[in-house]
Amino acid sequence: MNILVCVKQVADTEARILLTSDKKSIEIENKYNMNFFDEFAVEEAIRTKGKVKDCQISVCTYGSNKATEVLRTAIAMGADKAYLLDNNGYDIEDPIITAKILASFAKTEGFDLIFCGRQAIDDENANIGAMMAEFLNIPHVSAILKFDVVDEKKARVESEIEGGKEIQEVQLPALFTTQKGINEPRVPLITGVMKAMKAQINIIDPATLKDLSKGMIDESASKISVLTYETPSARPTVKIIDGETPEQKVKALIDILKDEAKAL
Amino acid sequence: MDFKLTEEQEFFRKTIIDTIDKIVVPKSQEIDEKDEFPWETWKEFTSLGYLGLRYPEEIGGMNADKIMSMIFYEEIARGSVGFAQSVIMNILMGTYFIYRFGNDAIKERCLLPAMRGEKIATMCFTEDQSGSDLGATRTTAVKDGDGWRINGTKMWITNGPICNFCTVLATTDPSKGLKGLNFFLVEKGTPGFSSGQIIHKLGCRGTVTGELVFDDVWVPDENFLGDELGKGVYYVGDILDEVRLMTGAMALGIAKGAYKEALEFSKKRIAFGQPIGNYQLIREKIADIDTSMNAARLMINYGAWLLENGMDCRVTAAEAKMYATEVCLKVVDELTRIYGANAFAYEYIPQRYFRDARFLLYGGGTHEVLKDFIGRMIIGKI
Amino acid sequence: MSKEIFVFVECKDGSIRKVSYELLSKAKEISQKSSSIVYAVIIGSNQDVLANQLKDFADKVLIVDNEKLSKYRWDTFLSVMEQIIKKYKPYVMFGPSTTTGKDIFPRLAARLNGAIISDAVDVVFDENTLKIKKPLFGGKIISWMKCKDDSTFFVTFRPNSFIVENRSLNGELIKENIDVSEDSRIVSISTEKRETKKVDLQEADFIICGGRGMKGPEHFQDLEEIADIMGGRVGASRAVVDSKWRDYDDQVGKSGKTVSPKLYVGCGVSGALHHTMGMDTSKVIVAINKDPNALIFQYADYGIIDDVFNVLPALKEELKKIKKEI
Repeated sequence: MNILVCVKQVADTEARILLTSDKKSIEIENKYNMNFFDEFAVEEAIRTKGKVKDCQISVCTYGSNKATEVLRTAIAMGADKAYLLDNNGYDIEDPIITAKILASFAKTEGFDLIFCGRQAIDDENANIGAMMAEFLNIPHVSAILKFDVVDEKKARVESEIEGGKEIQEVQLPALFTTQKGINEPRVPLITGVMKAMKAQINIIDPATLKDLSKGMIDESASKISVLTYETPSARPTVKIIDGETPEQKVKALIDILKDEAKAL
Repeated sequence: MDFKLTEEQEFFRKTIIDTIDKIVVPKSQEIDEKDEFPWETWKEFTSLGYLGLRYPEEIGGMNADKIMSMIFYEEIARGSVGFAQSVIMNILMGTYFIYRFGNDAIKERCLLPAMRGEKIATMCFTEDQSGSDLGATRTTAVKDGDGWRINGTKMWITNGPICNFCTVLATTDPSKGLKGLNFFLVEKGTPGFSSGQIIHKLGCRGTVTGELVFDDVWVPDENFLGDELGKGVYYVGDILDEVRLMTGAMALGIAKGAYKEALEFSKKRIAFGQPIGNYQLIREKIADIDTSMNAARLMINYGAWLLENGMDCRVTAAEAKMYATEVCLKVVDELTRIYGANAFAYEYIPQRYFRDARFLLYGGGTHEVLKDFIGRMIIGKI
Repeated sequence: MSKEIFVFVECKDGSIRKVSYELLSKAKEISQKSSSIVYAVIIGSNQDVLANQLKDFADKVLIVDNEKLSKYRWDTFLSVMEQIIKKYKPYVMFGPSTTTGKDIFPRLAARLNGAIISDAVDVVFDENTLKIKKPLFGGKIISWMKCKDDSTFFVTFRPNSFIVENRSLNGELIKENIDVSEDSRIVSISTEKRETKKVDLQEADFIICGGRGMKGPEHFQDLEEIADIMGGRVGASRAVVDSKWRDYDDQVGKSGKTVSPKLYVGCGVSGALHHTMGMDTSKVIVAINKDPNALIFQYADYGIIDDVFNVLPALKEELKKIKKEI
């Protein structure tokens, strides 16, 4: 069984993020991590590998050279092969293009099972998984909480749906996006870390992939564009509610919430 | 000249930071408060294989270069210096002589389990009247049949009360001073070998430190760790630079944790209507901390580079240990000033850094001894 | 070029979700400026009653009624939406950034080779263009984006982004007869409803959130009672969820749910970044914490510096009184 895991390198939640003076682009402090939800995807792939015969895990990312770091992390955890779909340092805004590139790579290599994180924590789009599945014409299930391979052609999954959970059986190949709660991502063993340090990262120019050309994936192909960036307006300083006792403070708070904030 | 970490080293650094953040940092306050050996954290962390950091891959190690080792020492000390001490004892001093001189059976019995975290190692230098002054060592080893009979008491032994085996420094000929010193392996369960008083420390809590007593302990010849008698002091020299750099790296680790705390606090604490980070006196402190930490890190990396390339780094290692530790003391002090009175309260972190930092003054040589050494090395015989 | 604005109406437990009314209200406001009309698209089975409720909010209500649509599946819903969009060629389609919206809209956009902006919080019609406001990096940066004109355009918005306004439009009901195709590769085995009639966390107007300062799971009962009084929900910080005091469903923050209630009350919440990134778009934020330096006070509008366990009983009593007054 061939498993593909798509991961994204994202800015650490504590990284400083600044606007350029023309407000047309952003600068991110050099602190990056594997996307939070992608760790579950990698872990689930590794657990699946432990349960089925002849299984290989490939991990890929569309990003800059810097993103090889998250590929190595995936290898340290237990993935077998890593592919960087090199964006040459240019971040494309349009998720459709990213999904096309990833899908095209998946098509080229051929996979039975694809895992993605539920969403990236930088743009919070939750787009790529379902889009890739569409381009590959395979079924998808979003936000899965349990995963089992029934046989080589079928998986059984529990997923989050509005107001509850659903159990479904899905014919493979299929794509699944992982939700927090599905597993506890492992901390890599030192043997994994050493393997990852030496691992060869396959670097691929997306334009050379099946059914793709430069014109289909460059800026001109993007269907959306950023007009401007801005920093959120700062909240006014907190008003600390005074009072002798907790009861007094609460009374004062309620009054303010009613009269000033109109929140009650 | 190249100041950049290689891609591999950078990846290692990132991985070890994440690992420490996940496993050690959440436990650091608890480890300090309980002041008991954190067995659970020990099992969880050592199961990952880091105790083999310095040893060859063939025996399950990682064969890390010295730069990576320093990164490791720094990061684990950032997590919890009490925990770091126990871990590093197994990685470095506690197993160094076993790896270098132990026969296959000893390696199988002691080194490999210690690399897996199943056995706890230690090394015993210090006595009541001797620390940096090794020549004053009073513990004796006397030839007795096919082995040696050891008598004496060791103090301030990291992991001592819980160790499975120890490398003990003893004199085989008190008349020869430093040249009478030799190392012996003593394993738990050997008649006459016991642990005595446990020392309750101001900082570095969680690691168990105490006394080890050798009362007519007999060990076989194979437990003599060395090529020939009287070379012990030279072997100490072979590991001393790494120990000093390691201590400096640990100091940097504490400083790094304290610096992060100070920086965050200066951004969030509001005084007179604005974050205190807007005030010049706070900015000065941050600037000083950053400058001195960068200088200390450069010294440690330089020392590690010398060591890695087999060059003389005796002076550099001593300087780096001393400087990094002084920087650390300064940083934890500034943290308590930036943080205000809450730094004095047990429920906040700064007091722990403040206490922990003090211990690094002693390991790897007191600064008084180091300064004298550095001065002597530079001036030479006049 | 047509200028119709379509809104995908999401239903849950036999009623229309509030977010759908929010989107329709905003769509109508835009349509008045762009001289276009608003279509509500309701997909399901036997939802005549619901469709009638939409009349006040849309110029036209497209109803797709089919037994196969009684339960949401992306494959069936997608086949319907695809045909509707191909038939009407709207300028833009709005949808909710909910579990369902996040599941279907990306795939729909991909199928129709359209443009999509997800998880937006505002939209304005300006210079003949729809400008979409979308927070990035957990709200550290706001971006304004637009779609290139010739694409079918999809936008999903976070719940609670807009105010519901009933304009009594008395829109026209149109039944669409559309074949529903199902993807046989997916078979539903069972579904399990959470036993709760409570409002969805993301849609709640009132959220009272507990942090590590709540000391243990048993103390969340107080928060539950207050949430019940207010018809809101209890949220939890990551530390609380990681300690297994509360379910992940309750987690507010970067790795949990992004919420923007009218009133958020944080109890013993320190205000770590991953938490504040999920709630700092709340309209009014109140923080209760005994640590005056807690980061949460930087995000709060109002703060009480006191032991949360002393404050909660008083808060419960006062809120009870208020609810009686109303």
